[in-house]
Amino acid sequence: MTIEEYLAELRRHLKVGPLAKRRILREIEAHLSDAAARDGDISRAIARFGSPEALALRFTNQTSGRLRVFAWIGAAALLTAGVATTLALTLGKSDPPAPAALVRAAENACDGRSDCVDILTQRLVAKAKDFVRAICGGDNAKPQCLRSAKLTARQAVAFVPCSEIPGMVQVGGSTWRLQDKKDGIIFSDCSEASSGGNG
Amino acid sequence: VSREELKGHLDLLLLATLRDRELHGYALIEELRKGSDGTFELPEGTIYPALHRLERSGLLSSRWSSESGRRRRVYQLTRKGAAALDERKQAWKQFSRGVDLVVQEG
Repeated sequence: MTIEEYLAELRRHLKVGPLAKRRILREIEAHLSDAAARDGDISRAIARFGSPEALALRFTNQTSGRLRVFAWIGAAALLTAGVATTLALTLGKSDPPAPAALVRAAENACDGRSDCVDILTQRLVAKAKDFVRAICGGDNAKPQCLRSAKLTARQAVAFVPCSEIPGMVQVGGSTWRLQDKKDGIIFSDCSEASSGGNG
Repeated sequence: VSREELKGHLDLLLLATLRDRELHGYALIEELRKGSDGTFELPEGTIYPALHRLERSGLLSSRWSSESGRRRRVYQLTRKGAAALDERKQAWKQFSRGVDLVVQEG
């Protein structure tokens, strides 16, 4: 079996959100390529991962049914947010990110760091309002915008595509990470975090 | 080491191997093997899902790193992970001391 065939099988069996799936596949591809370059024996490296079905099951079993539902809700919400952002930016600024670009931005945000900033401060709350304003294009009267403007921890889950890859969106040139916590939603400006350390 | 024997200790081993450094999966497996004098030669199919689970628990963080033109996902302990490592180390010491005492008595 080649690396490509192994990854194709794994892709078919992985039952996780789209971002998580992409990350898992990239990571395993990188590992297998490394192993092939070092050992020259790809079959041994593949064998150490186990069958694609078994490996997919190990990743899938880690995500409870509840989280899987959130993952799909999150993916849908992220897509919706992307469309809304695109519309908002089309009205206000140039170069609106397309949904596909949004997904790429989410993956590349913070250079893949998952610990950008994890402290909720008044300053970030203020920025969160800016984020909502950008999403809504200044029209907070829209029903979905009212919901966004009054985000609770439960609603915030809708912005998280899956528990391991926090939702990230690009608004007004900044990349934001949105993460639900027990005590509310955290909005982190990843561009600041990556220049200022782990936060 | 059988999977059953490993169960419950894998997290501690991974957290301890990542103490004070960041490693990608390949290097982590190597360090585990070398650090345990060959006792823990864990397969990739066990390590990667565990790393993802620990990251989701907030004990690890990760990022893409480019080295000699190759992209790899590297992992490091978070503050929460460092605290969890200390806790689990204490629990392990207590546990292993208890086992030692009983086994020596026997």
